[in-house]
Amino acid sequence: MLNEQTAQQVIDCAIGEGASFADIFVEKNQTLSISVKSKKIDQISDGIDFGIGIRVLFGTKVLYGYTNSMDRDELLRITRLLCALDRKPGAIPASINFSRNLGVQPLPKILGLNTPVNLEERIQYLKTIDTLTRAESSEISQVTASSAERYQQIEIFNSLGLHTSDQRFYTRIAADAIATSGNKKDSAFYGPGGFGGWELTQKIDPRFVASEIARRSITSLHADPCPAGKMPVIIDNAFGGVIFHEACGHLLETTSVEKKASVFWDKKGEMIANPAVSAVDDGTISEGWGSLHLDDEGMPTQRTQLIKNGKLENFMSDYVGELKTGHARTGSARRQSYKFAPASRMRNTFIEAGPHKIEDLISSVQDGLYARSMGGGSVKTGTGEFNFSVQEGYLIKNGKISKPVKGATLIGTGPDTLTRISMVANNFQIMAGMCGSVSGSIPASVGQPAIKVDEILVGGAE
Amino acid sequence: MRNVIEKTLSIANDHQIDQYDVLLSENRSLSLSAQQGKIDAYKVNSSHLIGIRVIHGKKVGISYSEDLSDASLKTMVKSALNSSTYSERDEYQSIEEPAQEIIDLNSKTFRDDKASIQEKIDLALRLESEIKTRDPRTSAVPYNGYNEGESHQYYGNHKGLYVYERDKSVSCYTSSLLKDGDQQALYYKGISERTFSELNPEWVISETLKKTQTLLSAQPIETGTYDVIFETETLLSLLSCFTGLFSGKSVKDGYSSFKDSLGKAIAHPEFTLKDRPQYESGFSYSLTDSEGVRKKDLTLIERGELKSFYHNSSTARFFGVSNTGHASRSAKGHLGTSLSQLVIDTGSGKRSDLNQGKVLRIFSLDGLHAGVNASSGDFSLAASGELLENGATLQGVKGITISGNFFNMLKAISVIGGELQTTPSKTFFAPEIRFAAIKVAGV
Repeated sequence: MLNEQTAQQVIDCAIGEGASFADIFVEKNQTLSISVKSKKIDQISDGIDFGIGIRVLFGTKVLYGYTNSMDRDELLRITRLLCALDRKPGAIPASINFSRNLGVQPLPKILGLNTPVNLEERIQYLKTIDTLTRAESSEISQVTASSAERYQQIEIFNSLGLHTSDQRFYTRIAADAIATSGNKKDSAFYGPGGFGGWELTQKIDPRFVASEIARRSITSLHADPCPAGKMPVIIDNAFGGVIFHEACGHLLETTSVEKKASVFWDKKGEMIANPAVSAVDDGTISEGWGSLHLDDEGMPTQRTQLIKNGKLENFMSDYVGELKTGHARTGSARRQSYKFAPASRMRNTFIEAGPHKIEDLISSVQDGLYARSMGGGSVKTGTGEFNFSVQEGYLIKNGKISKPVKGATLIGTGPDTLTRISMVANNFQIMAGMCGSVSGSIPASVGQPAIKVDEILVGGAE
Repeated sequence: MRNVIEKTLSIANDHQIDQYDVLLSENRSLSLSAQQGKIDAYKVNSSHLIGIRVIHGKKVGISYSEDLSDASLKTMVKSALNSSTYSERDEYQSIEEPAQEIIDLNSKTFRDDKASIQEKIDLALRLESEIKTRDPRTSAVPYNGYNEGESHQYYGNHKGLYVYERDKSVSCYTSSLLKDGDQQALYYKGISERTFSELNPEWVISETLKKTQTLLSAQPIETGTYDVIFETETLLSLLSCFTGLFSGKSVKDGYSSFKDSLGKAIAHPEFTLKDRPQYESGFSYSLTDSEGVRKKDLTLIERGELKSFYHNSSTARFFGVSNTGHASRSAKGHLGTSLSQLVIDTGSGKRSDLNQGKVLRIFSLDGLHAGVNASSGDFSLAASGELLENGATLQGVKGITISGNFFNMLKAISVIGGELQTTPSKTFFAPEIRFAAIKVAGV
């Protein structure tokens, strides 16, 4: 997308000003979103984003600027502006040769936005979700079904001679339902997605989507408030993995480690979790929502073992993270768009499957909570304090699932909770989500089999 | 940029599209952050984004572009027109604002700032160093920095309406991670102003440290029900999760539980909630909405009674009521609704009424994006703050959740204070409000 000669001049300029490293991130995005609401098409919109981000390093100091222009003079103006405060007079002008050209990744057959788009097929798919959800129960009063597709083309140049490019496709379905009974209303959301084009929807059965949002919203509508207090909790698979994402994953990004704003910053090689816990961040999963071919610094992505049998094995690191902490890059540099400098971020993060059946976990609890599906959560990386909401929960009484409850929130600290995961089931699943942090909002999967946390504080209104 | 707007309108006109309007935003910003006594990140940028809404045969299509070249503008218009052919007829959406020119060069919201880059760097460095110096238990100061930004918003429609507004603000923030034995606590604080010289770093530093020190020795309190006062910033964050319920669009789409509540009592009889977009001291001030309609004050709740929903032209037409000037649309998005600057009127409560007995004062809520169900009104959130008795601090509080229901909470107000306060972002104005009997899970 960007002329190689222009890229060379920009990087030569930065190095000539005394920078120790410079890179250019060129991005073009095509987007398409469609929404069906109240049984009819609510919104169709599309567009193109384009921009160039320039990053210059003086040691570990990061300078970043971006523009929508490809004009050489504008790119040079930004570069000089970034370097102005740290300029080293007498620096030797560089002349970079882009010898490490990795080229465009080969693409499988993908029905992405780079091919003619069949809008009717998409609209029909979304209307099917709407129809099937309403058919689940007369208490379903509203359904919104939407699709969001993105075709991202990137090109990266850096002062180490790298010139590479990639094409990425993302498709996500989002559906929510409102259940109503008298004056009471409740809602539920389900949002599967993957790294690929519209062909991924062949694996997302509208009947399953409909039954999920209908069941969750109606269950919650009639549920009693959750009792509050400390209790054992069984957190089921798929989006239940948000607990690891929040309680531990963010604390293992060098973005936090480099500032010592992570309770785990000096714990590599130490036991930080129960031996039942092994966890991975994997950018290579086929069609995984958080997968990549290359990260946003042009490094091929990889599978990173974070925790093995309770022991902290690795952090997730990017170029600056490695400079600041010494932890080797893991192909984890990610950003929302050219408007953000890259940072070490999670991709598809999950607790690996264990030996137990979920029934074993449930039957081991006398009085507790079964969190069948989770909402989102957040963490304070410096202290490890986290919170998650339970979207669909049931009480456990005498080893059996009892009545549904609503409004439950789980809070605790990552280091403490990791040691309290005593049983891990074998029903592993992964689920799409969006992760927000220092380099913006990015697609990231969470996943796990069902896990048992021996004790956690449950917030509820009862 | 006006010529880009006019060029786009002209392209749409060439396609003989029935109705169309164009939004263009232009943003510039600078941010820098400090770590270990040095500036570790410095970011400058400028960007623009244009978007068109077309209504052709009563069908709506949207498209946007970050490329302002003639070719991209033509592609964008064509794409919006193409999308509209797949849309269903919308009998209520229509672009009607007549030809006029509204150019707001408000000197209060866009002021010259002579501060040098060195002064801004010195500020970021000072924020970090003072936090470290003032408390030896500081183990890290992970987030410190300075931001400034300006935005320019342009609007044009097929009738000949042209609007230009601009806005500029600066902010600074810091954080403190304190460690004492096994105990640790983290807190952040920031503040916004119109110019650099108005920033008060001393307040940011002292407020950050005061809160972190409170949290360092904080403990969970006993599970039970407590009267709660939310600090203004925290009250805004909770309230914002539910203000969509007052949107005409939310009511139209069947999401709002207030659908049949107009004219009914939904809150404490002393509770009055208004949107005041023209309040110039607020940082969300603006003259017009995203359809070019002049904004005006709107009372949502008056003395406990639901008086109005907020509307754009489409929802107003649907309900057969006046447009309240609350259209919201980004260049990338479809027509929605949004509020500007909420104000809760002061009440008759005295300081002694607010402080009486035990009160849990919340200054931090976490998990708002997940622990709130706007449909049912239920919320369950991680919280921290301090427990007070007759105004005196008994203990810092963390490791608790607060749970309740928004609809019940509005009615279960026991005291509304008499002094108006604002948030550090200056987008919300409210007195202290004491909410009765909120459920707390602790030990």
